[in-house]
Amino acid sequence: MIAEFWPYLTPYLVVLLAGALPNESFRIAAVLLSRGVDETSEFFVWIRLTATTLLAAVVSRLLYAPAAQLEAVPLAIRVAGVAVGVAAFFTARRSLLAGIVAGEAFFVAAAWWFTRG
Amino acid sequence: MEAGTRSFVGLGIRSSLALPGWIVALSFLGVGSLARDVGHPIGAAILSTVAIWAAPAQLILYGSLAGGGLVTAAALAVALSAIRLLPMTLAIWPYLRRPGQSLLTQLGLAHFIAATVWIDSMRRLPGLPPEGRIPYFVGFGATCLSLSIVATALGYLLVGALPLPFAAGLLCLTPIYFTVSMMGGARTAGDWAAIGLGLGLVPIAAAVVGRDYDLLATGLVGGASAYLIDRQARRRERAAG
Repeated sequence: MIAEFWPYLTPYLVVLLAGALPNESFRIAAVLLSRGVDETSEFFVWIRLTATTLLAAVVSRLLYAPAAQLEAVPLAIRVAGVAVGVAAFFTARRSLLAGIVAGEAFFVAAAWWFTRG
Repeated sequence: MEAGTRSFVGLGIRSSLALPGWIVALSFLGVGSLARDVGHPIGAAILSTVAIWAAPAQLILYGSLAGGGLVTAAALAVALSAIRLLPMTLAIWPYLRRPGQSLLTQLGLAHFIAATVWIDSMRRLPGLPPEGRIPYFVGFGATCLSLSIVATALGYLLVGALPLPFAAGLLCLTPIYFTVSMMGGARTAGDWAAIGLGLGLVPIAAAVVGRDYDLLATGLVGGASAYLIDRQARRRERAAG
């Protein structure tokens, strides 16, 4: 009975065990460790800056060692897309929308130019 | 629900719909398409968004599976990308902690924490009255999550038909969006140092300690350096002022 359904269940188990479990562990650990974290302490400043560093590091990893179709576009174009987005954000008086639209437009145009026949 | 609570839930929903919710949903189109590439059913793709709720972890999971890697290696890669959730959750916790909360409530609140929700909440929550913070946070987070679930399904069904530049563009949305909103939220010298070190140290760390531990090494070294830079800047400010 279980053996019969096994192939259908595998993707769900992979998502839960290889995705949700390792990911959620850190949220759960933080909740359990949180007692007595003082938002004005030096420890809290260090934690906050480590969080920002890790978020930036994950972005860097997504650009530097990307998945699937993104890998078909050269690293220089991926990095330039982000740089154009940041430049547009600050030029357009910190408009998030302007930054994203400009970065994406540049990226898609450059990727199209690079992959065309 | 009290009227006051309801109005803060509404504020959270509106602020998600004002832009961040749509952007985060667009980035989940890419997640849905990757789930189909590795041969998963649409239900598993949706489950990944509901149960993981972190685009980078999902991109890394499907990326590792697509490369034909072992499931255990994929789990390790996800865990390393998820370490950031620990300090992120700790950092936001003082604003969400209320007396008498059950552990289950706390775990439920913590599940919403991901980059978009975190960046917005770290900016908005301190300015809200304490009783409005959780309703705002839940309104904002649930809206982002709902839009992303729909987007995961749409991405699964539609993105395969997109030409490569557009499919790649959807996958590049997460890095562009995260970088711009992190820089938009940066206030202190320490914030800028953390962003610069996080972005810059990964390739160096990958060369020194290998691709498996590059995130961990960057977080430890970069986070500590950013803290020292921040403390130095605060000292100088105090001395000057």
